[in-house]
Amino acid sequence: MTLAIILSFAVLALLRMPLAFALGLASLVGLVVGGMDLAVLPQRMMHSVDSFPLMAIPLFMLAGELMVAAGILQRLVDFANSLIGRVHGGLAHVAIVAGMVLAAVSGAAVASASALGSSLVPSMRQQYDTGYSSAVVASAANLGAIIPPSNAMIVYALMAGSSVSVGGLFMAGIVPGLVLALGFMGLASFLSMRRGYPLAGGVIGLRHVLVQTWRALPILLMPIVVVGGIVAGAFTPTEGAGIAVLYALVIGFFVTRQLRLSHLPRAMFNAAVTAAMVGALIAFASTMTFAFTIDLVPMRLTSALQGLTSDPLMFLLLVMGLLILVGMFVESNAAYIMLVPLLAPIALSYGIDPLLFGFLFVMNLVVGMMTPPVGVLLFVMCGISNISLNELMKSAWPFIVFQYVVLVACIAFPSLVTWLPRALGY
Amino acid sequence: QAEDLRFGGNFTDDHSSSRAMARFAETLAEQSDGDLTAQLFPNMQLGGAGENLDQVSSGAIMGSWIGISYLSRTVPELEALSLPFAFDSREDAFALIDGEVGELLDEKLAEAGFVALGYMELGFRHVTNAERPLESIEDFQDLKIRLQPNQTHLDTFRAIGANPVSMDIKEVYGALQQGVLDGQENPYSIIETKRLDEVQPYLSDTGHFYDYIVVVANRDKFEDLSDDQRATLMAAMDEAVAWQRETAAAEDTQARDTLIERGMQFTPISDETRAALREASQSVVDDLREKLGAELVDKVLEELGA
Amino acid sequence: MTRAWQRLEAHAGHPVRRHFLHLLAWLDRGSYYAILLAMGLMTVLVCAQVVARYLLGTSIDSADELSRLCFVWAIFLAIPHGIKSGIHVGIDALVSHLPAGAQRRLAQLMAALGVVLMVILGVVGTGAVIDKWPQLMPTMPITAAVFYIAVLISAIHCALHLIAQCLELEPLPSAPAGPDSGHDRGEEVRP
Ligand code: NA
Ligand code: NA
Repeated sequence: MTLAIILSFAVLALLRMPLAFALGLASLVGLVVGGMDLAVLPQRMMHSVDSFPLMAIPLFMLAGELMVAAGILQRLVDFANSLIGRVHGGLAHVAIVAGMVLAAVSGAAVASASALGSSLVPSMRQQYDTGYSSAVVASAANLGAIIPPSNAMIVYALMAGSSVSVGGLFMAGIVPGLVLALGFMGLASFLSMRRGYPLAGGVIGLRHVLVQTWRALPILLMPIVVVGGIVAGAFTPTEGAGIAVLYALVIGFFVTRQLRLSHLPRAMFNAAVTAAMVGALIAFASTMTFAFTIDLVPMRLTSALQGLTSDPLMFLLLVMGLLILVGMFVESNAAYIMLVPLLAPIALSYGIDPLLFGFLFVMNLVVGMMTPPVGVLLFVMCGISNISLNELMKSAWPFIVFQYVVLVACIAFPSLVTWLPRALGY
Repeated sequence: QAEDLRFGGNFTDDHSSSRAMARFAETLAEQSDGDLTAQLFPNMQLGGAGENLDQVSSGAIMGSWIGISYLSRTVPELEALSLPFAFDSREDAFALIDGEVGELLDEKLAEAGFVALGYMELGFRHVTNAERPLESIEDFQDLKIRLQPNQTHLDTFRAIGANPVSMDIKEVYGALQQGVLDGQENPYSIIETKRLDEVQPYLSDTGHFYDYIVVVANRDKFEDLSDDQRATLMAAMDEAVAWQRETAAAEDTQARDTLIERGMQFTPISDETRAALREASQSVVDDLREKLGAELVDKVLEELGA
Repeated sequence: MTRAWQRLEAHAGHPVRRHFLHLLAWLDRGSYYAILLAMGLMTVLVCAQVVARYLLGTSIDSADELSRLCFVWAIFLAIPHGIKSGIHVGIDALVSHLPAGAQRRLAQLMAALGVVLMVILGVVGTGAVIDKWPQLMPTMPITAAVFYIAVLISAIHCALHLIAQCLELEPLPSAPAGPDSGHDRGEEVRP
């Protein structure tokens, strides 16, 4: 059964069937070969989606859509510009700081990429080459899945079961997220100077900074309300996502006053369709997981791995290497859904801190969103900037390498990841 | 050709019910000379309890060991076992389910396409909380307590003045830790294995409900077995159930002691408080009489000697 | 929808195909409004639960279950709209090296296989609905089969969109035309 599934999935996926449907069809083949009742398919599909924690995903996406419609991005860009506009590669820094703040209100890197890309790349490409501009935006957008809230972490926690909490993973992402943002800025400065990009942006003035900060304040406060509320125990992550929607509505209607009632249907529909992409993957992949479980694959994999090494660090490095490969070729949501139920329990049996393992897992696949050949962020940026993958990769590789360096640093110094959540009692 | 029967469950590997099922599988293979084997998937490997039930119902798997309240959505008569503050001891509870009421419920289950292979102990459910020791009925006032999504359970806690919240079990630990909830209710063994003592200082012995685990099988699949196979299966199950009831009883006390050792403050409920709680929740009993018929409810009450 | 009928002439020449697209347009529109309803109700319920807990000191018994129901409906109803806009990701590393004609044929073949998946899902999904019908939701006197009905509708709707892809027909947008509808997911061009 397992072999039939893997073979049919590989063939269908390589022939460019959408991954969700390839997973579904391959599972169906498996069920038939294994003589299982086909009723498993709708049962798994429905029950895997019927989950309160998962509901945070469309809600965070809806909040993101509303924030864009409310015109908050311009305020963020103005704010970032007032702070750090006038340095080498100024606009690149603006993109990174805006990406960082946007990351703290949105759950998805892809959403950040399309918001940042469509608003910043046009002005960036007047000063820098398009590949560089797009690479910077893609990296800044990647912060969206590391700095809380993060849909990727929600999916991970859900697949890993009770050993990790969404809130704990959220907190684990803050320090590495800041390290990444600072590193991106350093890298952007270095590259800008080497490429001889000019100074840009207005002179930094205290008054100007204060005005722009005041204008951006409602947006800057949002992560404190939402993420703070989750950490302080005022609400669960899903409820926090609901509050984020309320907050975005209030900002849009009363602060920026750019949101109109006619924006709401579009925002809700877009959020639903985007969340349904994740939902379809989860629904079909969980049928595959069921078939694997019936075939005792997790048990066999565990004993095979434990026969290979008994050293937790060795195991962790093996998994990280595997995930880099997986991240290159597989869409990240599909990867969480297929691999977390298999690997998270094994990591636990090796005695690896579940928060550390979860964060490294998520971060690895998040970087994978910008590694070729299959990288959803690369695709989004190629689409927005209208450049080829090759051209984008010429500028993107230093940012990708840097992210893997931070990943290694997190393995070497786990307290980068675990200190904050532990301090907060997770 | 050996027949492999798949059973899914949502209890952890080390829960007495999962160990009893492992015993059952072992005995079954032995007694049938390998002609009939059971493959077990505990710990939600095949999905949560609701999904396991769908799988049994459609015949995707042979059976499941599952908290009985999940079946009351299909067989409402099972709610008669959810009478609040009606059970005094586990002996009463077993006598009830092994007697006439049990037979009646087995018939209702059969009508819905299930066979009850045996009833194990999930245990008395007790309230823990982070606010105060529960000494009188007033102490329940406005406590935000997580309950299973079951109308009778929610109504009971509303009737005694608490503020019941229905929430997915996966979110409970975090919600307790972060103070979204004040308390929850579960058998001692679950409180212990889920390490809720880490986030809940106060323990009580409210015993407001007694919960059974039913080993339920798909009726058609069960009837497809030969007479011999069925007899072997039932014998193995009877042995496992008997073992589980004994083990669960011992572990229940042990789990309570462990929780106290780990630092929870244990406050037994006095007879007067229990009487007051029973009195306050009388309306729930009346509602059940109306919903399920007075005959069944009164029969349960009579057999429990309440 | 006479205006739509006229617009359809640009999408399909043959009247049978045009009827098919017309049916699909009606389904898309109905599903669009159902998605809005489900998303809206879900958001309101999640927020109302927080408000009820903090401001009113109470809790809505069925909020959890009802919001999950809305979520399940929103997700499954939205999957077919994703097919239409090509949002469901695939791997084209290998396929992109083929000649354009072969790529087209292959896309049609994959869509046809998708139809097979959805038809099977529709058949077993019907079984699941029938099987679940007698069971009630824990906090509401409604059949628990409503969860599976979403899967069933999704399967049928997906099958129709995949048939459209198979026939290389371009469906009309899901959202009603308006000043802001230009950026809808439902109108993105397939990559
Ligand atoms: Na984020
Ligand atoms: Na990649």
